[in-house]
Amino acid sequence: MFISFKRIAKFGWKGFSRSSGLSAATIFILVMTISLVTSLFILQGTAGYLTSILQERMDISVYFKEGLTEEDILEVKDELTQLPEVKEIEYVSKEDALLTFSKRHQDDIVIMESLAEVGGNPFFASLNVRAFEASQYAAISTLLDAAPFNDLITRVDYFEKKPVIERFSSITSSAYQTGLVFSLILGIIAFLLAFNQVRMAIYSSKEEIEVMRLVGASNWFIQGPFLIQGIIAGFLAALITFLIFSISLFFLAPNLENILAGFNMFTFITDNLGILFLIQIVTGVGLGVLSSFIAIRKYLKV
Amino acid sequence: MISFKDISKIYNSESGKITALEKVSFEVKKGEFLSVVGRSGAGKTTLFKLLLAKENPTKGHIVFRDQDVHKINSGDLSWLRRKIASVFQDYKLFPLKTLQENIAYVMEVTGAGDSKISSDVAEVLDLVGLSDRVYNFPAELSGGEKQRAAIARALVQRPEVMLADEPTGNLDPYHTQDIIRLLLKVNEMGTTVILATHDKELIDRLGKRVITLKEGRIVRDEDKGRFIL
Repeated sequence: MFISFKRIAKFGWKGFSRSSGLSAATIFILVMTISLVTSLFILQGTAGYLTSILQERMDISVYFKEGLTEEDILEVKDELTQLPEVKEIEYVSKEDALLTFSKRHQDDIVIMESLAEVGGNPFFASLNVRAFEASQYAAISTLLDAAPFNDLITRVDYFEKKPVIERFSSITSSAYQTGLVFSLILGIIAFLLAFNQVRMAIYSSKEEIEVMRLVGASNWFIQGPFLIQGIIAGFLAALITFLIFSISLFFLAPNLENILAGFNMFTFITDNLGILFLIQIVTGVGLGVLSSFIAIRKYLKV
Repeated sequence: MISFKDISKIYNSESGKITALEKVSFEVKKGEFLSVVGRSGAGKTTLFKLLLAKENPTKGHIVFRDQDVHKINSGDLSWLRRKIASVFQDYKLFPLKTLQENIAYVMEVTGAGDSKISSDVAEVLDLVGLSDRVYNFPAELSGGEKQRAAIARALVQRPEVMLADEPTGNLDPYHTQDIIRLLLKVNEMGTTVILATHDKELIDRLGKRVITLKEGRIVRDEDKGRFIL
């Protein structure tokens, strides 16, 4: 058994190294395929980051009537925190609201004069409620309407933010679905490209396979070296793709960071080094082996 | 040793049915040297394909060592093809393997040990006179050398039968003689040889049993036969 395996591995390696032109072409196609899969992985990471950034910046504010104590509002906060849709709640007192507004507009003389004209503190105390997902804000708003503490609330700005929230929610959902379909189509194209290349490589050995059959080689002995060649090509292609992406992103990522709201692609791939390399190896080796396995079956029926 | 019993082979093509062999029956004894002659398309190659179980007959049976070769399951086909070795007109050597690797391959698939392979390969290469070409690739050999290498490859698995399908078809008269001498030597060593050819001079000189095929039928079967069509 060990002798057979050793020989199959030897034949596989020799076949790979001696048909260098075909092997190089196979590796090239596999590099293209793995690059496609890697790009999808990085795109998904980028999209995830951008979505989370936007999600972080999205909330609804619940404004409370005048005359309530901080304890009253914090009680409401405690009740809202129990809701499964709520991720976090931030209490903003009247004073904090005034301070934030003043700081933000300190250079705008007109606004600052208007504020002085109004006199006192015109702001309400509020709770900024953040949901886990954009689509959950509608449910939170409905719950607030029906809540026993509703009479303490003067205004919820959900309806003002609703168009933006709904649009974001629909973009997120359709982007996910489009991404899924896009990945699936690209995955199929990638597989067909790789399969066709391996099929061509095996086709060129058609006669050789026939002779192997005629000299009494078993299916495993014929198939084995081609599978080994698929493994070697897949592994090398994964390694090459990994190096190409690492080196190019090392130089490109800092320039892209501004466009991508602070998302650093190089940091992303180093943070996900294990899973990324695993995806590349599984794609490369898997495609190499699967394509070889399917392509060679046809010629074994001699 | 080998019995062809009422073998017919009909191919279905777009232009209709083509009869390659029709009611062919004959026997081959152990250690015999048999030539099968006939024009191109007479059915010689089909006969070999059926014996190697590459194809199934439309009718009839082929029995080798008491076994119907077309009832052998796919797992045992390797056994059949080690017992019945083939040599072809176009040599069919592995282009990316050296001569030594080409010959060793048929032993490696049987799981033979490295030292046994090494000694047997050296022995057959010596027998066919190619000991000095061990590390050459097929592309670096002449036609005659390639055919000798193909015979060495067939011989190293110690087959009971050697099928030679037009082995001299691509060779000049000098190399043809060379190959025939080698096949006779193989036969003297006890291997049954079945030679398919349409080389009249060669058959007339051999003085061995000759089966003549014409349009898929046996028209003559003679000991010490001659090439007559």
